Amino acid sequence: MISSVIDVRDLHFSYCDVEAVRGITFTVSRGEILGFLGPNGAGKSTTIKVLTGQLSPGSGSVSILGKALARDDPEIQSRIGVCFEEKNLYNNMSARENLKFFAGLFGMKGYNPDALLRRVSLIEKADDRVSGYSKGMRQRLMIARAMVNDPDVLFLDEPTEGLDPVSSRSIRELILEQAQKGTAVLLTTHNMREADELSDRVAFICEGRIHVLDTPDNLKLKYGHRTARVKISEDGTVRQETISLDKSDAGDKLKKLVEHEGLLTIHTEEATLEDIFIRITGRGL
Amino acid sequence: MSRRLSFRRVLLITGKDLREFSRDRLWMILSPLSLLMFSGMLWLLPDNPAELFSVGVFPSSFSVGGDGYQEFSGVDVIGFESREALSAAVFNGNEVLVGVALNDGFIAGDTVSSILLFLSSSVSPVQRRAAESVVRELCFALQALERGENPMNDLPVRIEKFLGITSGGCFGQGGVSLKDKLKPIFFVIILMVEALALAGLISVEIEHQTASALLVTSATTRDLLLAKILTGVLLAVTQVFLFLLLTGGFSSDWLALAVIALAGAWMASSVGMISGAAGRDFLGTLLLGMAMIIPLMIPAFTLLFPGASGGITRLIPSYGLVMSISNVLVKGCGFGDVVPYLLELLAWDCILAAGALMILKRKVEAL
Repeated sequence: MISSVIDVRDLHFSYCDVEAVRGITFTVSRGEILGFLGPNGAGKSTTIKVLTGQLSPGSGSVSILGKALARDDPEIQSRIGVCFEEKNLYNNMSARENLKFFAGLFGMKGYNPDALLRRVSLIEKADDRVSGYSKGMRQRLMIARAMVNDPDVLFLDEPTEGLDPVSSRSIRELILEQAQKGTAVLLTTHNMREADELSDRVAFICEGRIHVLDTPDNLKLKYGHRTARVKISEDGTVRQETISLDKSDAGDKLKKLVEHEGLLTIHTEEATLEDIFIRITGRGL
Repeated sequence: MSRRLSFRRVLLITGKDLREFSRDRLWMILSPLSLLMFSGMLWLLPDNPAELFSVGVFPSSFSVGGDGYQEFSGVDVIGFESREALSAAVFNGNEVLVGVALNDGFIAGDTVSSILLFLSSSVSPVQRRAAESVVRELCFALQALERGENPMNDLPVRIEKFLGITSGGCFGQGGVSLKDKLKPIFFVIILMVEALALAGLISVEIEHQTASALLVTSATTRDLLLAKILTGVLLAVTQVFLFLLLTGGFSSDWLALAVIALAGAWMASSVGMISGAAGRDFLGTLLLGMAMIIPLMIPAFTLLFPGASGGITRLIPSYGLVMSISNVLVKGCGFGDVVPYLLELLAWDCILAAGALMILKRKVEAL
């Protein structure tokens, strides 16, 4: 039984003189979603390229499904799925043809893509050429292509980048569904809300280094501030007040406000991952 | 087992490439168009040797023996009623290449004072000398007539017939027509159009990063490279086979033609892979492809100018291809006659394919 599906230790990678990944270490277990968060150029996509065999690791060790990573290793590659940031689909082919072709490369003879096309809501347009698809449809097809071989490990590089809220939500649901089936998911994004919603754990990566790796809740508890924002109407004007819930007198203050006749609204707020990211790395996304 | 090659995957990728090609408007117009255009041109061109030489003569009474010249030497002698009509036929209508204007009694005893020649701009120095020979022959013929002799039979020396031995089987029947000279040129052009098509396919695969998507599946870099070679060969060989079928080329040695077509398609495939991998984008790829193809066309064009082939053109990779296809298609040579050229072609095929694989491999791995 493999405890960690992805096991990365002290991974380094350089493009000529530029060190893109500087000694990162992490693991991803079966059924877990690890969010890789960081700004553009942080080293997220490079890490995925190394883990999917597109780039050879500079130093350190990488094992996928208990096997040391090697370029062009069909055994590992038949058990992983990759969704690229670039929409690299065959535009002159239909969704059905794209999926059948990739299934063929995995050795799946007589593969019927209908179930998967239904799952990503593309069955109605399955025989249309991809060149006529919207951005959201292409992205759903990208996810479907990554799942065509029912992978044990799924690498998703910015899966909802530039999509409308409805398309983003359907893709997030697909990712969660796949993780519930036991697939280990490594997700790179710079959308903190998405990472918070999807990830079991998140890693903050900046300038090729992982600054912190923990669950979103632990990070918020450890690095965030809980506050309550209150709006009160007094003498015909609306006043706003923010109360820190971490202070000892917070309970008394809140009690007074609740009893105040002019109380309009009261909202509790916790730190966002973005606030915590800025606090830890010293830079925004 | 890592880095293994799978023919099943190679065939899958090749099938995908051919499907992409068949749905690409640009190539689906260019490929059939080039095939039909070049085949059609060959159908339209006359079969007779291009060296038929038309000479106009004034006065028309001097065109004595013209039919005889046409029959035996490819010279067509036409009489004109006026000097003006003769010059117009040469300078305006290109009806005749050379006009010979003579005065009555131009032969004074054994001497001819001067003869006016009207020359078309397309007349070469060799043809001018040929025209002068025709006039000389006319002088002999006229002098013979004045003496009451038969100009065809009563000359001091009589030549029964000329025996010509020319390299290649079909030369025994006469010269090479323009149609025949163009066949090898069109053959190479059609191959190279498919090289551009492959270059375009590879360029799009790299530009859209679909090659990256292939390489994170069970497909290996080797599968991808072999599939590209196979796609290029299939596209090119299909086109030249159709060209040979449409132009009646298979009446020559079909085995030799099949081997030349395959070896030529292999060269086209390598050229396509190099330009597809080295170009920055689709347009850059096409420009680079053209820059590679133009020098490769030089040996084919030297066939239009006798004596121009050989020399430095021997160093061009397509020389073996051009000479072997020319010998089989035009001169009627067999497989055995073109083996040295084929070996030269295959050696260049290996060199170009090695270079193409290296460049494309580096490009794919750097994606």
